[in-house]
Amino acid sequence: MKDLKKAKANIMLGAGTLLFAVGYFLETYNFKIVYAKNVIDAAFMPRIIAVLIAVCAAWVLVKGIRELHAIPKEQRKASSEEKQVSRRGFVRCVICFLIMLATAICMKPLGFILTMIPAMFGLFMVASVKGERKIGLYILLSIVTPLVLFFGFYYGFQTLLPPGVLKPLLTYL
Amino acid sequence: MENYLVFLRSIVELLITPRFLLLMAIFVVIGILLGALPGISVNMSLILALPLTYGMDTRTAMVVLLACYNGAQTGGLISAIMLNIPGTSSAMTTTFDGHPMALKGEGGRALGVGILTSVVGGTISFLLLIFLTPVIAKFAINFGPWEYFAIGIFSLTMITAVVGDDMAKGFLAALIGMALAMTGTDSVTNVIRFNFGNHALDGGVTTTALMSGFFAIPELLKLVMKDKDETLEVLKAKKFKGYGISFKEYLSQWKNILRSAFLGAYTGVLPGIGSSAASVLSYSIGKKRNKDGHLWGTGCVSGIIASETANNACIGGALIPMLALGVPGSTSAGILMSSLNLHGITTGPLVFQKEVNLVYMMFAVCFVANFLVLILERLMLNGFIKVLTLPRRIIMVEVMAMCFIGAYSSRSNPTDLIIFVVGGFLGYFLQKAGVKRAPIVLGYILCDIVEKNFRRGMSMTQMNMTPMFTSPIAMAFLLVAAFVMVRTVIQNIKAKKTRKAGEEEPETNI
Repeated sequence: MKDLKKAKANIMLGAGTLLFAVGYFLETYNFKIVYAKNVIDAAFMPRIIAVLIAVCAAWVLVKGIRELHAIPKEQRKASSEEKQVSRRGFVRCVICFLIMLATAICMKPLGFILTMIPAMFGLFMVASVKGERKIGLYILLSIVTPLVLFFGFYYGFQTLLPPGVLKPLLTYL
Repeated sequence: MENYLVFLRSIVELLITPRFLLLMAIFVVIGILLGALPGISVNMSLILALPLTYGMDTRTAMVVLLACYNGAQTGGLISAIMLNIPGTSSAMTTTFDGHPMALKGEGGRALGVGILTSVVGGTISFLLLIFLTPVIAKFAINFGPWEYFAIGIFSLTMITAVVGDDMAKGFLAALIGMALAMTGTDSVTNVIRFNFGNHALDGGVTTTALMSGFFAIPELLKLVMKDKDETLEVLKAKKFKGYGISFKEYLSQWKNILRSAFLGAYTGVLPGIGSSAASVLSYSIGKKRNKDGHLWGTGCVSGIIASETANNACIGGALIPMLALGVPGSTSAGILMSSLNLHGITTGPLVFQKEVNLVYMMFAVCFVANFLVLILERLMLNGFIKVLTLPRRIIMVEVMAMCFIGAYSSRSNPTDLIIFVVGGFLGYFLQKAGVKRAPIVLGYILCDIVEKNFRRGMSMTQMNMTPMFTSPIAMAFLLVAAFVMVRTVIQNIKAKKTRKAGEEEPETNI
């Protein structure tokens, strides 16, 4: 099963990075290049990198395909239990990503405190397992941590984290 | 001779002036705490301390900043060992052996050795700083773009030491790192690259945001993917005495210590190649040269010694060109330089004539702060272990909050938060696909040095590459690089044959 996973990972990695290399190479044609005598232009190095990525990606892809073919067909299917465990993990992973991305996007307009409170609670819930959850503790930590960090950084290091919609209130404080 | 007397007088002054001693102790502790927090880099710690020094006189400001610098540089090893997330990017290689040791219940020992060897590395580099500054400065002043390009290529070949048995993935990882480093304004012709119409990316991808994401998010996701936290029990560190290593055992590593310290200091001297590259270089070379190198990555004390000695030795090294030439050896040294400029001091060769007392006072602060780190970090260690052995699911979420701050504060730019999140998830999936983190980081750090100096070299020589081959320094580095590459490929082929014969490669944390 380890070999199957490795082969699939290599195929996905090879294909993904090959696509990335193509996109990366094409993007170099959008640079507003300044041509001058005796100067190597800004697209030179990125293009070399793109070509080298494509070569390495093809190498990984071919390796993955060969590894997959070396595995007997009957061993290529994962058991249903394994599939369920990995699906559960994947769903949690996606939720985690969405929470963090939403936090990153909302941080400036809503402010550090208002964004981090739900984000931390959400992450505590996703990271913990049913039956082990301590919701009271999570609520407490989700409220206390952003407040301590915000004011700690403000008063301790004169670093103002995004105040967001609470700016009038925080200015008053 | 007279200058050394100034240095000794400065040490005495620091020790008998309660204000200086207290300030140093406070800022060493603050530095350790900030350095230990993933997402708050050494540079970030210095940036946070910088506004506090605006109202101080130059000497007090240097006391505060250098104490913080020393503390933060060492603090990074704490979370690297206990959480597998380097507190500072230079502690990345410490995770390779430190965390496997923590998983074996030897976290305390790993931390003790890390602290001890950091201080030893720092002390060696400060000795070099004092005695070799004029000589090294004279040598480095002759370096041109071709020499720097050759050094960059030489350092890139060191990737082969950390790629493991899969060369294709190793090179791919390094190239991905290089591709990421290309984002932003090109330093030679000011052309903006890969900003995709978003001007927030004109300044490039910030190291703090990317590295925080790269190291912190995969650790959270590993926990999220599991139904049970298996590391919870084993991370409980056993009690240990002193620094977890006997004097005899530590001395038996003398070759490793000296090699790492000199590599760290030397890398620090070269502008642009910071402590992260120093620790990766030292670890890579040490892995090849040490007797137990094949076991590095499984929890070897010698691996921690190589990494931590080098990254702390970088502090002294980075200060050499900053003071002697006015060229900072690292970003942190650049922040110190800007603080000196704010106080009306211009660094460069003349500073040794005009501000000799201040320069030797700075050397003295480095020495005293280094020994304060040895005492204070050891005293704080048990508290750290207790905190870091709390349920990891709780710690990791708290760490995420800190990382968001670290990612945002370096430029106060919301785009950095997105870079942090996307970079973190990209890092996780690459890790899942068997791509190692070390080559990505090395490629990311070294790309700018290689590209910039190649293009500058070509412009200076009217598109003629001959000077690269006629410069003895550049040629020496290129020959060593070629030798390393060929040797690694041969070793790799041999290792594959051995494994086919039934011998298994140990599982590593690299």
